[in-house]
Amino acid sequence: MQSEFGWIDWPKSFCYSFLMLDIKELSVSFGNFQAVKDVGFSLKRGETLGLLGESGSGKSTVALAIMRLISYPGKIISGKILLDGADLIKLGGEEMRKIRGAKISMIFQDPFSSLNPVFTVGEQIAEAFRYHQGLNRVEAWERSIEMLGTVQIRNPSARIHNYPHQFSGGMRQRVMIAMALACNPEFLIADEPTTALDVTVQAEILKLIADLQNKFKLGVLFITHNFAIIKQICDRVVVMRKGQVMEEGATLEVLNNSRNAYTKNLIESVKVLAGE
Amino acid sequence: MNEPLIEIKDVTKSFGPVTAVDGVSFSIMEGDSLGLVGESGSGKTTLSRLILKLIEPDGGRISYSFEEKELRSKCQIVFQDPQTSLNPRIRVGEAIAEPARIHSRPPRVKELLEMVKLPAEYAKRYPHELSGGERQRIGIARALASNPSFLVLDEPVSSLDVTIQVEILNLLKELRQTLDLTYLFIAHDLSTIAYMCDIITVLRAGRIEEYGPKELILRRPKSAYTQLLLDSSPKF
Ligand SMILES: Nc1ncnc2c1ncn2[C@@H]1O[C@H](COP(=O)(O)OP(=O)(O)OP(=O)(O)O)[C@@H](O)[C@H]1O
Ligand SMILES: Nc1ncnc2c1ncn2[C@@H]1O[C@H](COP(=O)(O)OP(=O)(O)OP(=O)(O)O)[C@@H](O)[C@H]1O
Ligand SMILES: [Mg+2]
Ligand SMILES: [Mg+2]
Repeated sequence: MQSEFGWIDWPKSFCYSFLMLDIKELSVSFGNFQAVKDVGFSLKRGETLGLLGESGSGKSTVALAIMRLISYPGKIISGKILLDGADLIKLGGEEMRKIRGAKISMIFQDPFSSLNPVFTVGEQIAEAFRYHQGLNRVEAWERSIEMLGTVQIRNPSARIHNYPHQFSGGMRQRVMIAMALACNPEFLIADEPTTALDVTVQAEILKLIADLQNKFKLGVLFITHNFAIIKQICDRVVVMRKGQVMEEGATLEVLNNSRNAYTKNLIESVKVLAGE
Repeated sequence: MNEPLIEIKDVTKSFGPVTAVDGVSFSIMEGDSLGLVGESGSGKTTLSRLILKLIEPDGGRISYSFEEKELRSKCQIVFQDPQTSLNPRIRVGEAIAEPARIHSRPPRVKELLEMVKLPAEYAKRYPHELSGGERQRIGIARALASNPSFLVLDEPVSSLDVTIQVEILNLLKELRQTLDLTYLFIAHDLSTIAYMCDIITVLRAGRIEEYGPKELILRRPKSAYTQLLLDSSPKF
């Protein structure tokens, strides 16, 4: 289930010329409240785009719209979400279900509510390996143990039998990451995937994503408020506020020379915390 | 001031083969803001649940300077995972009013929402109608509702954007001053802890790796893990 380009080691610059995701004038509303207004941005194969913005600005809503997981009373009221040229908004439920997981996968912001409490973490990761990579039971189980180890869970062959509530907050977040990556997607949406992790584990996770990106030319939409992460992994950033795109540009350009008052305010706050 | 509010002695807690807290002793002094750092899975949340008597230790003792029956009103917690602590079928206004009502105080929903920078209309919403950051702010408002004197803050701001992080941290600092609160502040990054706390405890694999005043720990960390955390704190 690799992309049509996935198995050839194209030079990165060449891959960049393929627009993978192209969002045009996307609007989403919850009843009378419009959470996302005319949002547009695009992402190339192999590229990491950072999505930044204050709490409530609509970042998760954009991500859920791409996954077509906006539920009633929420509604996509206009726009296009083109993935490799096909408009996801026009797809039926069954077609979309195939794309979810196989082509796109998402690490959700809220790890607990997105894990199933009645299945062990091993069963949930192995399910992703079996369904999306066609592995048999034994292979899927072995790969799941390996994957738990990769996301830095100690003693993975014992911990794989635990239920989600037996894991700490950060460990649950890592299970979500393991599940999303087990799907072997071409495009990954990561919604604040490392908020519960300390820097040492976070560094390993970012390395893991970067490795996959090099191997499979994975496109990544990374939602975060962490400037250190943005600086480290994002090629470009989009800054949102109140449902709209405030600015977009190359990472260093936006972080160092933003003329936008809001972005500057965000950066100032980081400096306060860093004790400057 | 400076009387121990809570004393923790040789406390141990295991879950099956996993020893989550392994012989931990320290005191929380009245008026202190004590920071608890440590890698994911090191036992921070378990330790705070032991302190609040939400679970019982296997060994050791925790003693309080107040009557244990006062524990529920005096001590409050902001949970790491707001989703698990907010009932999905209860409007957030109700969720905030509830602890005050239990302790028979007039609910101050509007005021509390204002404190955490949310519009008053949000009282009518259900948890799923909020963004991740907004849910966490509801958790903070609810913890403040019963006028506690001791607050456990389990990574209260890590899912918020920085502008609001700073706002909320400043609010918590302010509240600590005006209401004479004592904090146990859990975080996994040192910059937040350094901003908020006077005393730092570093936990590793259920044990205390080091403990001391902030200045000392930040300037001369004894353990390699603390040094690593320091080295990798975001710089600008
Ligand atoms: N189901 C819903 N019903 C009503 N309003 C909603 C719903 N889901 C989200 N909203 C509102 O839409 C706005 C955008 O929410 P969203 O979750 O996209 O924000 P976000 O940028 O991801 O914020 P955060 O950084 O706090 O996660 C918020 O004001 C939120 O309250
Ligand atoms: N109810 C439980 N049943 C089984 N194991 C548990 C339970 N609660 C915690 N543990 C285990 O105890 C250890 C410590 O967990 P704890 O939640 O205290 O960590 P933490 O320091 O808060 O980590 P994080 O930063 O990831 O939240 C972990 O290995 C966890 O899996
Ligand atoms: Mg969000
Ligand atoms: Mg925890």
